[in-house]
Amino acid sequence: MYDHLVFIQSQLKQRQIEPALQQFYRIELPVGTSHYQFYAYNELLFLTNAAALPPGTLIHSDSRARVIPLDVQSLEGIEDYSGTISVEFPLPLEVETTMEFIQIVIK
Amino acid sequence: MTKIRYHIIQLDVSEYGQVVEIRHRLPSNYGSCTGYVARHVKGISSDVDIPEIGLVAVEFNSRKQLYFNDLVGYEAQVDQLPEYQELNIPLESGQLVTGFYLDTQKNPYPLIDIKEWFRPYQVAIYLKCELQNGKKHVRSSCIHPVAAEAAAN
Repeated sequence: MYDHLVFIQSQLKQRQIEPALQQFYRIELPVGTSHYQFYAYNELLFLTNAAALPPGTLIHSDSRARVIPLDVQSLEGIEDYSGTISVEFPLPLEVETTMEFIQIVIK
Repeated sequence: MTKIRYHIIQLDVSEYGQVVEIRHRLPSNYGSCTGYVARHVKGISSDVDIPEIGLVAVEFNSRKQLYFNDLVGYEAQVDQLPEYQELNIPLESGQLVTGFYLDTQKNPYPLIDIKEWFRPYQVAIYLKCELQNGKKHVRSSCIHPVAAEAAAN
């Protein structure tokens, strides 16, 4: 398994992004949530626990959109989102769900 | 005199709510991108205009610059081609254009299953680019500097 932090550092270097802060960021979504919107301007949020989200969930941001696939358990890649981020679940959540990100605040 | 080249990125949408990833390499002799148009090309048929069928986001220079987010609509009758939206992006040679297209069509027939009315369609992003003076396109397979130089000459 590759190291997420090493991957993120090399991504930032390649994209010439200078981080001001790197930290974990969590969003707790209560039972019944079907849609959630939040903001990440001048920052990048790398989703680290995509496997905790139901397959078919749409995550849509200014820079990237992704539907969580059925085989998400077998995937290792992490992806970043920024700007206005909206999360749409295929069905209202039946259990409390936490989305966990590595947050990069940009200088 | 500046030479203009038009570059088309075609995107096939085959499912309702699909996210189509854009990962495209522009020719290495393009110096800058000065305009874009994103529009429906074929597949949807409707008697009325649809203001939004999807969203498009495009980044240039291998994700170094997020440049545009735009709505893509459907025009029932195309009287004249839309004008290019202005951009001013210096391009780094051989870098990727990335992004996504997200289908956001709403079901016009709520009583009918989505699969019944959805038809695959095509969207195209037209990029208007200026050539870099005195530089020729080098294929990305020519990675060796000597080979690249030979190809340029």
